[in-house]
Amino acid sequence: MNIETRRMVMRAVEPADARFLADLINDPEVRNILGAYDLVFPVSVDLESRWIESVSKKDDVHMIATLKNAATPLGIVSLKDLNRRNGSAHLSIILQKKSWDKGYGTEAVKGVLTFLFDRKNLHRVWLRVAEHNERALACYKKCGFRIEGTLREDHFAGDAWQSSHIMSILDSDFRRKRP
Amino acid sequence: MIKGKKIDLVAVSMDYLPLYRKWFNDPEVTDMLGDTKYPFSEGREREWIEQQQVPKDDRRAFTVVTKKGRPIGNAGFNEIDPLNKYVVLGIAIGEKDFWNKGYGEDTIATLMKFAFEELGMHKVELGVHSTNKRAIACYKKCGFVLEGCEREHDFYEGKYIDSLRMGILRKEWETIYRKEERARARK
Repeated sequence: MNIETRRMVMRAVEPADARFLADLINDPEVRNILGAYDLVFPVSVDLESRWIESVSKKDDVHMIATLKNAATPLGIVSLKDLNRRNGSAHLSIILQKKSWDKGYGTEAVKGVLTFLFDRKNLHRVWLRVAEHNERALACYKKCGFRIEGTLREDHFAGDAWQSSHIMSILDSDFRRKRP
Repeated sequence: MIKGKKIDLVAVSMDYLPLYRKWFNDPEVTDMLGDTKYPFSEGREREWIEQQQVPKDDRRAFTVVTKKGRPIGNAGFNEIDPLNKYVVLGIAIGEKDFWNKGYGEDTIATLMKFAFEELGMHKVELGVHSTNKRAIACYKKCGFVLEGCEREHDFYEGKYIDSLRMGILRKEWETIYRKEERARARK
């Protein structure tokens, strides 16, 4: 089922989303803050199509976050490394630049956490965030994530070695202080 | 095609793919089913429809179509047990305009009749969230009897809730059905 929040819907990624995704991650500003390990060169729409095709065969869940009333895509929300035995998932979210600072990120993350903890019965959701991505850090903290470790100089970007934080939220954290 | 009074049950088909996607991604519709799934992509839905094309004797899904030809949901047998002669029903009316209008009830009645008369079953049963009052009322109206409570069986809205087992035996169904027939004959 789709994940709905007050203003947004998260639905499955479809082949028609290739252009949106290519535009999204070709934006240098978006790329700068991601601290991605393997995104260096520009990507083509065709490459994105292949990616969509390849992920549809895997257990990872990739969702497009859209506005409820307009269905305009705002970004992508992914759940990777879903581990049933340990009830854990690796969350990632990328929003297009014009959707920043409007509370969409927080709304999407809270919506996904509610779904994962209240409906899918997960125990732990974790993520990696580049240390300089202050907007994301603030959002995740607001949603109840806490930093549990630092990957020192784990990626090279902007002519410098940069670090990432690992953050997580447990079901008990979530229930103690519902976002 | 299996004929009911207000609806017919037809084979699951690729023609209905956009509808299945709409229904089974709608939180209000899927809320009541025992299982919460991640959002369905078109590809995954396609896979499911393809699987349904391979005849299987242990479970079978149908699409519910109104007499006017409007597809409104899916229903079928989640389990067909030929040894113990029972089936487990499953139903989801995806078009919300068709809720509370007797379409679900007629779908259940149609599946029951088929299970007893065509599959030769001894019993029809189902499981339902204890919180789903609307469905429980509908099943009771169809003649289902509460058989048991599976304590804290389903995880839903952050907690474990009870799941109720309901069932109807062939003799109970025959009594209800004969009464209906007599009422019809009197008219």
